[in-house]
Amino acid sequence: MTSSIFGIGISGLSAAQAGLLTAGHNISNVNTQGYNRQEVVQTPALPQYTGGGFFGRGVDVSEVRRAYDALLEAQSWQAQATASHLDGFSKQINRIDGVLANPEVGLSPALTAFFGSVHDVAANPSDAAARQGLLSQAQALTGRFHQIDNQFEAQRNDVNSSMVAMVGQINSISSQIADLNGQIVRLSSSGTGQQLPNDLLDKRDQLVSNLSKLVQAHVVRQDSGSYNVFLGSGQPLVLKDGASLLKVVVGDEDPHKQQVVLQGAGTAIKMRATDLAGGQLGGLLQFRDDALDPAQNALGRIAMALAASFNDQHKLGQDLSGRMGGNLFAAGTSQVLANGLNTGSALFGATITDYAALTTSDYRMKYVGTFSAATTSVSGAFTGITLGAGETYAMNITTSLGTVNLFTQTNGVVTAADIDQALSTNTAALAAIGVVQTAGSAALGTLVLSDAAGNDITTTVANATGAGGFAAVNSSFGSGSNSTATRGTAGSPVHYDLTRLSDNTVTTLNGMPQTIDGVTLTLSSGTPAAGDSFLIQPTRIGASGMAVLISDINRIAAAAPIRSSASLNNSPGATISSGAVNTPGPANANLQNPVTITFTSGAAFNVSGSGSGNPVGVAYTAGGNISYNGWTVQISGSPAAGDVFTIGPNTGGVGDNRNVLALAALQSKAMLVGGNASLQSAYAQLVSEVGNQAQEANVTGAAQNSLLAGVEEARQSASAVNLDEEAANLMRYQQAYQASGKIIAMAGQLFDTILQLGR
Amino acid sequence: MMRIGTKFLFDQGMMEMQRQQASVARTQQQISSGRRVLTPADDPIAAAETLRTAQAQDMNTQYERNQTSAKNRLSITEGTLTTITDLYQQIRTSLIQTGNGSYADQDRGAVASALLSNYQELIGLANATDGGGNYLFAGNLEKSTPFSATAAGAVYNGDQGQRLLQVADSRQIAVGDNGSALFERIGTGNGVFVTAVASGNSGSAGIDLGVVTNPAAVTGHNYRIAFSVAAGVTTYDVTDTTAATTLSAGNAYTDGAAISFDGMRVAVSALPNNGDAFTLGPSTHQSIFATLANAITLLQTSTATPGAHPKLNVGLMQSLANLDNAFETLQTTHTEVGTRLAELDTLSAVNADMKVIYGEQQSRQGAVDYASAISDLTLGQMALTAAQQSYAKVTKLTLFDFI
Repeated sequence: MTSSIFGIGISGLSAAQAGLLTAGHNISNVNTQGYNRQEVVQTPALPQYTGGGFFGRGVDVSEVRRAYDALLEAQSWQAQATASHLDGFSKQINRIDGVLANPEVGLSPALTAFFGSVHDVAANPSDAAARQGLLSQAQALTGRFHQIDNQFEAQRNDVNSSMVAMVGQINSISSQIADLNGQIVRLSSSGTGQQLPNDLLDKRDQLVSNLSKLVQAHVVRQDSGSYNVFLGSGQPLVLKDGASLLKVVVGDEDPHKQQVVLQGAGTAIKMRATDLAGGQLGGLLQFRDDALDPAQNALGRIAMALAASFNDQHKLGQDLSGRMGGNLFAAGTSQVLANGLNTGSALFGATITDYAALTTSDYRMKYVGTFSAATTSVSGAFTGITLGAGETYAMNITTSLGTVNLFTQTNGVVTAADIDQALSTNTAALAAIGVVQTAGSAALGTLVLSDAAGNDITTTVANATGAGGFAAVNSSFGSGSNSTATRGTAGSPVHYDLTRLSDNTVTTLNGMPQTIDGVTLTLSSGTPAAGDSFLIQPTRIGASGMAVLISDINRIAAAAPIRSSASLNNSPGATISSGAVNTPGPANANLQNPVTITFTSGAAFNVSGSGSGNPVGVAYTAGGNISYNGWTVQISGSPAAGDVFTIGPNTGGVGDNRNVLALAALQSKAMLVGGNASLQSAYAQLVSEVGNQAQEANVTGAAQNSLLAGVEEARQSASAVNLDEEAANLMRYQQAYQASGKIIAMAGQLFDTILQLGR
Repeated sequence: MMRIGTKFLFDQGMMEMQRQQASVARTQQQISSGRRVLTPADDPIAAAETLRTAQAQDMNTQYERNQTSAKNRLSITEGTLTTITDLYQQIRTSLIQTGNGSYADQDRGAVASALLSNYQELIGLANATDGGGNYLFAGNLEKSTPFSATAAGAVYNGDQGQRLLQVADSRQIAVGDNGSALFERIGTGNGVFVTAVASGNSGSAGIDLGVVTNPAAVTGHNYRIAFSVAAGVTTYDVTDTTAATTLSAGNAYTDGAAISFDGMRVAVSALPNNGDAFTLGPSTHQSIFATLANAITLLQTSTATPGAHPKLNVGLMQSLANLDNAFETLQTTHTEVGTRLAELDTLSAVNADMKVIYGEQQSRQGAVDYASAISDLTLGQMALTAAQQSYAKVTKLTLFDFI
């Protein structure tokens, strides 16, 4: 009996010791990242059965358990990934946000200063200082475009190098997780029963949490105790004790944009931005695709529109030496990048033909291939069908592009001629759904319809009121017994799918050249292979390619190349305007040829001069436009017979500022965004877009951070060490230890009592 | 029961303090920069609007510069026009003087000399330049001298261009007036027709400038009024020399009586000799320089020959008429320049108003409201202090102090 008292006391001592050990472990790990509080689980030892009943035999320490809630942990990872994503995005976008609207370094002040210098030339067209001012401001403006663009480019490079660093971290973390998986499985199953290596589990959970900061990871717990980790859309990163490596490679679509690939057992899997959503890496990629690219494109669009509109007008002017103006600005051009994986030899060119229609998006064009046209041929003469009372015959032709109702007839006889007639009157509508009548006619008995979209043609014959009598008709088109469907390729148009990346709108292009959103695409050389893809960047390098092409102040074309004059002997009644060169350019070859307008009466005039066509008896309207050789003048008032007006070259017109006034007007001309935005408003739009994105990221980021804090609070509430609690535990187990000691002491005394009995 | 992780307590307290600090720092930055919107992300709409307002303000400033530039040029033009007006008055007085019957050839010679120097002065004024050495009245050929003197007057080397300046969003104002319109394109005679004494006249009869009585009947043809004196009776014939038709013949002549035909009325006075004639031709353009040159030649011509006096008188009368026409042209331009200057003053006032309005807009959109910013700052400071103090207090509480 006493021996069992000793046993009970000792079991109490060791249990209290275990409690003290665990409390000490908890206290020492109070600041360890990812540590989960541990506690000792005590159970009463198996009782001993005696005739007097079951007697307890002390306490057993059955396990050391960590306070852990798998659900809260998973929530914390998820919240961490989203918060890091927003954080990564917001850090980057705040950098460009700061640059764009800064009063010192933004584009706006440079743009205004440049147009101010244009106005100064208008006030003093022959003044060397004013002209030099214009060239200097043009240089300054170009410099500002470059600065901002360099900032964008630097961020692109930052994104690339950060990607490499992050992917390195991800690889390191995933291989550590794989290692831990192996250790945990080994330790949990190596004869320890159900005991788990708590600290290793904590470490692994902490690694997943670190991984979530970089990229959104999905963890699947295996029964064996290992974690399988998958990326966003199911690509395996860690399976048991093996990890796949991520790699950063040069983008096959755009060499300036690196991409991440997953190096699995087989070939590398290309990871799209959506596959890597969440975490800082996801934030970076989203920034690059959704903020950086459009912002750089928007800047390029302003640069290109400025250069093009300025050059166009400048070329209609005359410089100080009497020559026609040239290009003042150069700007970057639209580029079409062939995907590195393309197998065809095709190269495409893109030019901007309409700035108003231009967007800030990039485009991906995929060559689908030559249509394999479906041909439905019908043989056997159409015999016609008589409609019964109340019966309706409707013939519809359907392809993937739509349905055309050829005709609907409610009574009488449907003849072959009816069908031919319907086919010929609906040619345009049929072409719109890709159907072409390539041969024959219904009346001849052979009719071939080709479908350019590569789909079978279905002909449906609807009968509104009854089913009778339409089998013959039905069989004449489509799948009936006496029709054959063949597929051929000869003479079919080529076919491209063009995706606008900003909203993923897909447009089907049949052949080249094509104009979409103001960009004209042409096949410059080679032949595409099916599946080849091309990235079209209409304005990406617009700003970086900007340059000032004129360094001689005399080459600024401030004057108009023509001038008008009224003969001194004219009657005093009529005046002529100074004249303007017609826009848009290019200038008419005969622009500067002298042209004489001679009035034969108060109501008509003759025109003579090379290029004018020398018309006679032209009716006169006071103030109306008179245009020849690419210029327009107005004569107003009441001219008399014999009045002579001349339009000729503006030789020596150094004080003329007509062209530079037109140049100055470009400042407020709405030339972008569907003709609704001036250069300055387009810039303001860019600023507010970036500002909105940044604001959204900041606000959502703040919300996500407080969500994360909430999840973390809940998680820590369950799992974290509270020092007060541990202090109390220390006291509790100390007391238990002391009490158990007393039991042993008391058992000793009992033993002594027995021994004394024997003396 | 809610457990609080000790680490969480510290972390959370730290994070809160950092957040407070960031907010205080932000407010401080707003106050020190004077900008409420530090980056577009703070208020994207206001940021874009600020840019637009700034552009409007900058354009306003640019228009102000253009207005000043236009004013400068127009003021110089106006000054020159005033001097020319004075000169015209002087020439007019001289010409009227010569009408004095007691003047001998020498007296007229002296007036001619005076007119010659006036002519030189006028050429100088017509070739006036602005501050930058650009000719005011050369049209767009502002680097070439507009008028070069010739024996018969002067040749105009400029063009008919007129420079405009953008002085408001939708207003371009003319800042130049070409010499051709100002000095060259001046009607002769009464503006419709010109009377003259035929070269062979020997009588004392002269003709007036004539007036138009019926503009609709004016043909623009040349006419000749030929006198014949037979047996003391003076008659005249009127011929349309352009159409070679005789309008009337053998009309009795009364000294000073009106002679009317084809919508025109002239009066011949004093005594024509047999064979004397007067001609009428359509009004043309003559430069003021040619008018002066003609007048000088006229004044230097001897009046010893018979019939010279009527030629002189009629010639001077025509010169005076031409001068008056030139004067009228000058005044029209002068008034226009004055009107433009007045308009520029109005535009400047509008600009000044707009400047204030845009300034207000800018400050509303982007500038910091100091009162609220400073109150925010105080509030932030208080919150930060409270967070710090409570952090220090709460983290001090531990059971270990008691065991």
